[in-house]
Amino acid sequence: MEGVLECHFTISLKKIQKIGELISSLWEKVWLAQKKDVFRNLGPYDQLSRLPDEIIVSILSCLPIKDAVATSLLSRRWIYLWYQIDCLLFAGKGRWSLNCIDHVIRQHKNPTIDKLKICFDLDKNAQCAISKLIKFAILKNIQMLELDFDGDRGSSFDGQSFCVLVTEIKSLKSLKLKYVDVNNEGLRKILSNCPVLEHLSVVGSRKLVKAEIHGKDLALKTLVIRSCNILESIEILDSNIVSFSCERLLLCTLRLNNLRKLEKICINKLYSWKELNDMFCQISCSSPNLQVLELELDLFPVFPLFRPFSELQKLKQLIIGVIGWNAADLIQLTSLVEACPNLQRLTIRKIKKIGELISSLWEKLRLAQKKDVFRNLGPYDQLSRLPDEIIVSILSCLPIKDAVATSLLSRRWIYLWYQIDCLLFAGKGRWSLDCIDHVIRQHKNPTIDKLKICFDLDKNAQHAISNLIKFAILKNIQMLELDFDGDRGSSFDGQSFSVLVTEIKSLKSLKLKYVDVNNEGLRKILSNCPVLEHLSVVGSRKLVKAEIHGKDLALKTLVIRSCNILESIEILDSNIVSFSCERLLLCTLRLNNLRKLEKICINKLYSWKELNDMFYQISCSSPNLQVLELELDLFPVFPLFRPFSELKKLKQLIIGVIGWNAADLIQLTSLVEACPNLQRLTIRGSYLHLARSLEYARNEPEPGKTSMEAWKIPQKQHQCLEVVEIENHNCGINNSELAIYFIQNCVALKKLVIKPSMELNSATNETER
Amino acid sequence: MSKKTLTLMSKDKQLFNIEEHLAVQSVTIRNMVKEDGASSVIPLPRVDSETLALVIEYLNRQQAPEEDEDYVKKFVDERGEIPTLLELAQAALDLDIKKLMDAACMKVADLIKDFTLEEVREALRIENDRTPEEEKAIRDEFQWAF
Repeated sequence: MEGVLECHFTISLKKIQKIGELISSLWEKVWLAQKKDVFRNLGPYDQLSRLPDEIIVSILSCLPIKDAVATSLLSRRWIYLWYQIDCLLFAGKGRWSLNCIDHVIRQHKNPTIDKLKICFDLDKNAQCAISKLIKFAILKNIQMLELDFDGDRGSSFDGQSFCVLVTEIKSLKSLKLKYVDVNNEGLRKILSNCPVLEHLSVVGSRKLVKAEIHGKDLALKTLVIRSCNILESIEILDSNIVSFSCERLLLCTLRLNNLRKLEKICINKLYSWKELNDMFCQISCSSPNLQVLELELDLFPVFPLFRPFSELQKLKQLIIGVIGWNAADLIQLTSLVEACPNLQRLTIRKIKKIGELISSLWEKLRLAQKKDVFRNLGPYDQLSRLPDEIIVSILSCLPIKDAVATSLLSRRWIYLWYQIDCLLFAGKGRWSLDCIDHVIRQHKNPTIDKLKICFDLDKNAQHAISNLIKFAILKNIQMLELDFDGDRGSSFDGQSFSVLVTEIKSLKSLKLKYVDVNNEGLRKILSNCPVLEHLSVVGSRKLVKAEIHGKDLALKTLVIRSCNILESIEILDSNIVSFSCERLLLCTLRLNNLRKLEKICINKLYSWKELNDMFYQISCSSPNLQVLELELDLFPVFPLFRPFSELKKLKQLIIGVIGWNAADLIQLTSLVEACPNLQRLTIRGSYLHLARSLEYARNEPEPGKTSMEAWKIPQKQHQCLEVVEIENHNCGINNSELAIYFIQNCVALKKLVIKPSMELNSATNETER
Repeated sequence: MSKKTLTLMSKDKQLFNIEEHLAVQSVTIRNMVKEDGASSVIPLPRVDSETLALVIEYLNRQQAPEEDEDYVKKFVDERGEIPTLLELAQAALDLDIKKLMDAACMKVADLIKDFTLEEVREALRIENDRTPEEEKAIRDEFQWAF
């Protein structure tokens, strides 16, 4: 088993393109690493032989068909058992040859098939094989049919021929279609020809424009419609439907009427408060008996003024998922709750941001694999030869609890941690004043380089933290980092902190996360720390105006992020070298006379106009800017503006785009043309917004139909561009086409790197000129 | 001006050549060069040849300054075995190459972070030379850390 558990950490997050794949592969690894647990507590050997065939057949029915067939090798008894299974699950990565499908069809002996699930890569033969399988299943009175094709590869099963087939299955109760291109007519046929169809799910059809469910004579009870890109309207009129699930109402009209049996509605990806309001109105008119409503809101957490939400009289359960809100924002949901007078159960789910989800998976994976460290250990005396300095350096990188715990290792280690020069107070448990005092008393190193405090705040914490900081001041601390979890609504009093910090004359780097520093506090910190070079303020809820003025500041790097009420950032006449902020739509940026500024990084740009204004400001204020990093969360249509101001000295441009597809990248030409001396261009797809990026990934135009033609007529050639990188981006086009564009239009191009990363460890295409 | 080459000798008497302007990233070597021009071979009695080859590979890196941090991290990440990392840390300490030393130590810390005490003992090959009574005394003193 050891061999199976071997996993490698070579995945580079940067290379990853499809978040779905990433997560499933991480799960896969976690799962593999844990599978040995199954081998514990096995009973005696004869257990299975006592079981009747029925049970074994039931187990086999749950396995993919390949595994089920493979069991025939186990022992004599098993040879014929799989002939009796009533579920056929054709799944897995390898291509299925017609031969093996024929084989299964010939051998299978059970007169009925409950369920047929087909989930594999499509190639030319597959169409025929699938038809064959479905016909075989029809003969055996199939009740549940599920087709699941990976939509991302642009493969699709011909919807039309499928619909003809399906209409022959009179026994069908449940039909699930993923990435089968059913069109309007196909959907109508399915509904009118399957008299007992109770569950219908259509996911990822690229031909469905209008979904119509009409009439009392349908048996349909559950309907799911998702990820159909060009869907324009869903109409459910006079139907007996009980449960209904869809998404993205901003782009698709929903019409509901006379649905007296409707009990549950589930709507994902609601992007606008107005649509939500309209939807409440419709539901209250059409579905008087609705009991459960499930919503996923991907909204800005500020509720605009509208007419009040219509009342849902019978609603008993309301489930609301929110993406990226913090605790205080939840109050915006009251107006929704008030519209449900008979609500019995309210669930608010914080949908994890994808970043958090990934890091928690990483963590699990890491723990499961930690035994890898125990391979190839050297001889026993290795460590004893090492000087104390190295051990102290290692201990300095550990959280303080772990560092102190090493004093138990052996005699030599008792006093080693006294010398560490980094104190990292982190971790979940509450820190008592006692243990902080203890550390303060024992620590012997005359200097502390770094103090990092990152724990839950309670009443005592304020005091403890002050103690720690005072202690660090005595030891000439250079780097201070305070990181409090902003989601709990806890906060460290910014004012008393600002007073403390002004005493640290030696401070070079200060990072504050969720410390409520206000305007005055920021001013004090800047004016009282003469050698402060790096300042980062994240998540302050009191900062309204950030002002960095004057040549006498040592400050070189400034980061300001996630400050909700921030209205303006002013950086005038400063020696600052690098600057990073976000969300300029809500916050004015004023830059002036910054001759040393070399790098700007701006996240979450929501508007083209702001971007245009920003280029103008930068060109006036920062003549020596070399690197510009932008994250565009924009609709990929560039409106007409004055042209972007030229950034003469810009050498590197990094653009992150959220949810664009390959054809949209053309919108970036106007940016690139504003940088005459650009040497390096990097375009990065983003996986931050799972919902949108997944959705757009499916929005890909079909291969060969991309609008790359437009790329081929550039306004002018790029004279200095040497390196072009496209990372993460879901390029739905031939790489060679992009390559040709850049090779033709960039006179100085030396290197073109495209990292499309379909797989986790995909090869990088690198072309040198 | 032609580039000057220095010769380093490992514990097992193997010789390695490196250009002077790269070698002086090591503060130790820089000081030796300043003092006597370091015309002869520089002996490194505590560094074995495998480790020295790694150090040379590191010193020879051709990275833009802004990518250097990432490079050092990757460099130690690729050598995820504790004995190698410890040797590397020792060599970096002797040669006074701070970045490499810090990165190697950080990596070791990262590897042993979530370990129980016994696991740390095994991973770092530390023999427990204390009586249970002594151990208990320490446990009592630092209750909060265990």
